[in-house]
Amino acid sequence: MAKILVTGGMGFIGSHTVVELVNAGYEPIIIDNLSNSDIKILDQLTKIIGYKPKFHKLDLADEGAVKKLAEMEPDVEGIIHFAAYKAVGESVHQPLKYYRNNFFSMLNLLDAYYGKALNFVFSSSCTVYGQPDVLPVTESAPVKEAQSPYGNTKQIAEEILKDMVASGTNYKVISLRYFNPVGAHETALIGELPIGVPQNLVPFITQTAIGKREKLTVFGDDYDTADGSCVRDYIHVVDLAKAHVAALKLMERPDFTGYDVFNIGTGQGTTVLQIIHAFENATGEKLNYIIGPRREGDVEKVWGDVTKSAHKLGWRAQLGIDEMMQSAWEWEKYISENPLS
Amino acid sequence: MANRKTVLITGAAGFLGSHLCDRFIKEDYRVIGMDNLITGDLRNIEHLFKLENFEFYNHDVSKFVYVPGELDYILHFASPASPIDYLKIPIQTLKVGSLGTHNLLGLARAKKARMLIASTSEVYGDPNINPQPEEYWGNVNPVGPRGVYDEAKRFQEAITMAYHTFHGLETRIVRIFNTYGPRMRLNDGRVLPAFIGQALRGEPLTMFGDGSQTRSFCYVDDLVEGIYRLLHSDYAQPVNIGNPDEITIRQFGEEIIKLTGTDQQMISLPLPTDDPKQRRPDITKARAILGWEPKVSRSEGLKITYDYFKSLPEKEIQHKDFTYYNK
Repeated sequence: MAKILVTGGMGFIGSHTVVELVNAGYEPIIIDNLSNSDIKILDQLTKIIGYKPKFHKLDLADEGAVKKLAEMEPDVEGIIHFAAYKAVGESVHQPLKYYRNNFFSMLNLLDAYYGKALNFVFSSSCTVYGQPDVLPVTESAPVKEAQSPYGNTKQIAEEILKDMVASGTNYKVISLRYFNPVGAHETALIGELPIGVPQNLVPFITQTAIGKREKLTVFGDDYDTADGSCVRDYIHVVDLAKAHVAALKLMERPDFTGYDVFNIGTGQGTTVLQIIHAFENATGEKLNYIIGPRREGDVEKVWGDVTKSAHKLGWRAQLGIDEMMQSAWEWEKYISENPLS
Repeated sequence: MANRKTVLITGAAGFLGSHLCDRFIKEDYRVIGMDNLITGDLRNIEHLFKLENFEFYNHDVSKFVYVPGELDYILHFASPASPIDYLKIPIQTLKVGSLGTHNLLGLARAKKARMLIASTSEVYGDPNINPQPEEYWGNVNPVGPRGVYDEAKRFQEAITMAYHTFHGLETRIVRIFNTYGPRMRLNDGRVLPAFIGQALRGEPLTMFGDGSQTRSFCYVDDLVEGIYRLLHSDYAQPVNIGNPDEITIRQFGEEIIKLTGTDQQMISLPLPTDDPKQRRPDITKARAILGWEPKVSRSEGLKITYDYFKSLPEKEIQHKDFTYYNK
């Protein structure tokens, strides 16, 4: 079984990817410092995959720790690099923390395994497009000036990887630009675990529906969209996780060389209000929501062109908004009844 | 933070290893935990995972161990340690005691670190003197069922002493006697968790033979204190750490029955091969050199341990399958 390091493997997307790696016959090895995740996820993963996955607790920003890791795990065939700080607002207030963590982590990893023939998947984001001029946005659309240090770490990391590959390394690299991952695993044993007040729509919806939050605020209904609320390309986290397996498979082909980048979305835009109604329809729960002013930093609308992913990666999203809402709701109910800590 | 000392603890997810991690974290060390989780359980250390000065590597120390950067101390506590474990995984038991120790001694030498190894009262085998002082050479059957553990530990002491005398490495050897406390595995086959588990399940307590064999039980906090002092001492010869308060298995069973307030019977099974008839540490050295002696009485320690086992999920208490590993 090919060993794959999954950094940030205890996180939302990371944990779902661990499951899909096992389903595809890989052996995931989880690396996490648990700064934004819970060790109990390891037990949850054990319930899903039937064995306790290998786990190392260390800080990737610590060069010595990563060297140790590379000595202990010399024979890995791939790295899926999720580990990063990801709160946009926080990054504006603590840019150095974001640049230090997100860059040092990736560079330490690349250095520690440098020279080996490894497949590297980088988790990037549609945030690199800013507000695109043309929709749906394709991978060749211009990268816009970043709106936050967080977004900037994704843009620059992509540049670093591209430069590294161009220099003739043994690494193959694919950057996946995620649109908006939501939903949870069908077992409801893993899902998104926001710390504090959720910054993302769907956790906020489910927490409101279950009574953890009093009401949901929709940030703006005067955008130039079908119903005035923002449009996003929501993608089921399980579909997203499978895209990482597809990326590894593509890089395993001898005819794949160098670096490539793919949009990982459904190709469909959905407004915030449509999501709210889809949630109500899928779950039968009524949501208490109000319309508030626009939130600073939000782009109006973005959804991806996924033609390239379908053709070259051989991957396409399978699950729709209903499955996203239902699974997110099942997870919310599960985690409310079974708090992890 | 820059002045923090770094300690590598192998067997970090095990019973003793996890308590040592706690102690060194409490003393503000940077702790690197290693365990391959064959018999260890991450739940023993999951409360440490959020700390920035705690790292954990799922690694088999029988294989090469590499730690860049500075390292001040190595505590080698990785090993299956109860008979039902080492009878199931005899080769790993021998390897972690021999190859694992060799790897770690090499690392200690490269880092100029001080190395403490967890030896055991098992090096005395089935002793024909009681209590056992450090000078006693033991009565071990090398090819008996317990030989894999006993001889691994005896080899471990020998190679550690060789590194000390030949390379001048700073080494410490602790001979650990029966120790108990929270985080023991209920089904690890030792008498204390076995009795408590049986009491909690309302089953008769099974002793081997007529229950006249003796043991002495040391509470884990006392043991950790002794190890901590030994590590920081300048004494390289083996030191017994244990509680000399000796008790027969039959009396011990009666204490457990009294503690749990149940009315179980005690039943007798045939004595296993090479089961030691008596075990009691002579702690004269620990007293003189480390100023150490056990502080926690059996009644106090048992109460804490019983409360811990009682707090476990019901299905774990009911789980009697001795083949179970936390893997």
